Amino acid sequence: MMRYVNNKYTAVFIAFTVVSALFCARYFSVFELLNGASYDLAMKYYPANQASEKIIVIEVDAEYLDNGDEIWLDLLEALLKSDAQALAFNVFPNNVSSEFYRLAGLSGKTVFGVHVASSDDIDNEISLPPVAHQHGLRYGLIAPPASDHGVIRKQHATVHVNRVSLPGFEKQITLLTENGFDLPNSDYLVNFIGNQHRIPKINIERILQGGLINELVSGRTVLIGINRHQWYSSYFTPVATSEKRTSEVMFHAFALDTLLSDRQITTIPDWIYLGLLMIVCISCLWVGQLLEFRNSLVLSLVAAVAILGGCWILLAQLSIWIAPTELLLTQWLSFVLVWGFRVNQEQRNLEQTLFAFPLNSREKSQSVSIYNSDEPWQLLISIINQTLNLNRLIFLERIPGDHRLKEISSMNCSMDDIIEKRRDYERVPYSIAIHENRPIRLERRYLKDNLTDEHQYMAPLMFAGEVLGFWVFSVDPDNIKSVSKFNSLTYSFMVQVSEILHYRHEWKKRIDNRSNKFWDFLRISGNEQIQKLNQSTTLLDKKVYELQGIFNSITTSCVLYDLFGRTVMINKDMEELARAGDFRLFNRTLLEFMLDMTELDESSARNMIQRVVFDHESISIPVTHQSIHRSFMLYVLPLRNEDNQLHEHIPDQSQVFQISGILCELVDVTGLKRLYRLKEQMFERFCIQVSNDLSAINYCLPEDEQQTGDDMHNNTAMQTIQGKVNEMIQTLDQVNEHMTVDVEHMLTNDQLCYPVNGRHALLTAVDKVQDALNQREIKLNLKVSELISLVYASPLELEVVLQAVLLTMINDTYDADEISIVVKQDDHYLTYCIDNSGIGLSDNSMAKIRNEEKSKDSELLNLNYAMNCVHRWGGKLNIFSEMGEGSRAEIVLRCFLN
Amino acid sequence: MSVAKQALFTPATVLIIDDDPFVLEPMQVILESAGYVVIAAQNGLQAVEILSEQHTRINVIVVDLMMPGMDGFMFLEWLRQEAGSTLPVLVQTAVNRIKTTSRLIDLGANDVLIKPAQPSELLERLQQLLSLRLQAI
Repeated sequence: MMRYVNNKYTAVFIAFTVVSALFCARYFSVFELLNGASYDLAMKYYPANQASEKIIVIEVDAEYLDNGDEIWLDLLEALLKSDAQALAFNVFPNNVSSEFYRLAGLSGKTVFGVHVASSDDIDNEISLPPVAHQHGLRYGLIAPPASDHGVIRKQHATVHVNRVSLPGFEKQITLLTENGFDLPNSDYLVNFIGNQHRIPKINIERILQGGLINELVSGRTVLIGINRHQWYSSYFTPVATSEKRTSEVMFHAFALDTLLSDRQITTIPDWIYLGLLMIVCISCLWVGQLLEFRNSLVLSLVAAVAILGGCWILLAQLSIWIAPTELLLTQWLSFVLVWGFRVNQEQRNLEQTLFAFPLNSREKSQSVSIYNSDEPWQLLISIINQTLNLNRLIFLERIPGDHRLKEISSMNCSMDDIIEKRRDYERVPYSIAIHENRPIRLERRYLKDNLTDEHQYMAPLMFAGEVLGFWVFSVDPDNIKSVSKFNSLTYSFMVQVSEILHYRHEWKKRIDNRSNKFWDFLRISGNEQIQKLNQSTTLLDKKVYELQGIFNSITTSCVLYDLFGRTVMINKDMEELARAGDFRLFNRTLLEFMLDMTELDESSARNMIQRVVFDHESISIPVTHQSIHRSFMLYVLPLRNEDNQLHEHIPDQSQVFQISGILCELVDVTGLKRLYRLKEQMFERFCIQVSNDLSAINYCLPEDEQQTGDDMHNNTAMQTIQGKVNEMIQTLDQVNEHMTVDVEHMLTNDQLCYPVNGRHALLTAVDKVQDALNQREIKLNLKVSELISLVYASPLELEVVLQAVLLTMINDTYDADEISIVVKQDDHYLTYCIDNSGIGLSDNSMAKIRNEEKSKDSELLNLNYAMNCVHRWGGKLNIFSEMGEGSRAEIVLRCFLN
Repeated sequence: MSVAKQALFTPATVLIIDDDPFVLEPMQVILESAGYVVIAAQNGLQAVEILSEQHTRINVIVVDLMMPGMDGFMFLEWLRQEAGSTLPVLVQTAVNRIKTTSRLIDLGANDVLIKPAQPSELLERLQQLLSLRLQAI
């Protein structure tokens, strides 16, 4: 019903329904039993505070009832001598003389209880003992108390006799001792709080023996009654138990104490109770909407305890009784309704999001009607066959609501070729395929024999745990080149076909539902929603997985942020880079990431983010993170939202919301930077060379145009100029040749010979062998000029070659010895001379280095490789060694522009 | 400047060191035309030999920075640290970097002339060096 209530008035509707229902229930005493039980418990279990100061009880055993003046006159005389405020007998003793009644009447403070049949019986008769007449006795009427479902909680204030309302026993006593203004005129609730401890008692034998202490009874009303007598009943009161009921005298004592001590229990008026119900209900609605379920539940439990406690304390302290049942029911009914509504609302939203969105989005990109045509299945068969080269295949679909199968599409076979006639997917071999959830090879033939010795397979087509059908195929064993690849491929096809079949089922279900609404309405299916949910989440999961796969396949390191700069997705490359560079990505904002990666200050980084978000600009910044040893550029790109429909819903056409996220890419520019550096070095060298040449020409030219030299001088100058021009032409040719090398060639071709900074390569190689040097405490003397020429070598390999030679020399050196490296340069060559005074290489090793013998020693292999490299660059690598004297390696490389 | 002092450098002798003969020869002509006595060396090692024999004759040195074998840095290091000479040195170089210039000054070069330079600039710088040298004596 709540589904159709306007959301705006839901809370009002709930409050009105709950309060009216429970107020009506109270009015009709629906929960009287429960409230009575609560009342009794509250009475029974409240601890006694103090004994009554208004009353004292003398319980007399029934055997004394017939003892006449011997007991009763003595008792009366003794009590009259005391300062007791009043004496109340709830019984007329037997066999007493008229003297007893005379004294009682004379005292003016003695009241007798006269039993009548009923409180409102108009034929009630008041009968007094004969000897009691004419003594002016005071008496009160005692009628059987009214019972609420067997429990005595109230006493009559008045009793009707012959259409006259006369005071009851307790009221009569009270009228004798108090002014009686506040005394009730109808039945009143007896206050039992304190139980037996509330009412003090005195022993009759003690009084008869003269042991009555005046202080005990002084100022109190003394109630004398018979205990345990067949004529006098006992009652089941709130403080009674099944074993021990409350005696009549004790019941009268509680009732008398209630009146004398002004402890009457009052109940609140209905309008106040209605107000209370409304307060509880509104509080519950407020809490239920404000808090989460768990907190709301805890608070409601606390409130329930508070309501119970409050009722209890009010009863004990102020003698006000508020029935708790309706209040508690109001509270919990409101709680249940609010949460029921909220859960219902959330479920409907969830349904809309999860069920509708994936299917709709699928429909957007592809018409669902294709699932019913044969065309896509034939296309699918064609694709599968192109890849797997199968002999036969058939797609079987589960008949809805049945455990049998039917054919969807096939190749080179049909349903008639299936040997297994039951086609029951709960049986073997289908059940085995379902259990394995992968293509299984069938041991027994499933499709009828043909001429070839083919292998037959069966793959279950399942989506989100639901069996949709089977794919059976056969293949020649010779066509399977790799079993593992074949298995992997067939498994991938199985998953894809399962998904297609799922959409086909969804489409068919929709068509069925549209065509038969009545049947759809009558249909009862408990787990359909869950199944739908399961399928949708599987689909979403798959899409997210695919998206992550695509993100991972991007060759740069990427991290995707949402519009607010929070991390959404990180690809594998970026994760690995973060691990290697020891920097955090998760739970870091875009701003923090930019500050980590670059030298930007916070203000500049914020400006850049604003440019990306507001102006949709793409920006690039060099990465300067210290832990990253390669060169990267950080590209920050806004991901534009191309969905125009989305923009229609944005009233202000905000630029911000036209982007759906921010993509940060770290592009590795190490190779580019290396190439740039190489070309920069070459250009610098070219400039030096040109400057030198121009300098020579300058010195040859006369500064003053009129200044002329002799012929010989002029000839020399001309020759110099001509020589320099020729050199410059050669220089330009060489530089041009190297400037045209493209990036890809440079980064991939390790055979390339290019002008390289020989000093830088040497220093890098030394740096890399530093650990080996330190480990063996070998000292290195390095002598290399700062301005040596560039040399021809492979930019990728020169360091490796130098490193290999250095390691060989280090291994050939004694511990704590010395290695010297001197770099010499003549007109056309640069020579690295590396000397040690070590052990020396054997002839055998030298032969292996020269490749005269095959070697398995990695070090010698490296040296041999280095030698080949240097030869390829047009240089030489010479190793000289003498056993016991040491070794010398000379790497001679051609100089650039020399 | 006193006449006696000026007489000390008349005519002044310049040691020029450059591995490129196309620079060395025109420079020699320019300096001789300007009245200097020129001693030419084609590399650092040759210059060391000359200086060892004729150190007292030479008044100023012009050296190229980039040379095979012993380059300008090595020559300066030898001249100042090993030979202990205080002769004024003008270094010619095509490397126009502050780092290189400051390193040369640190090693004891008195002036650095960036190539390509006009002959007049060469002569002017030499004249300045000689004047400073005369003041120092």
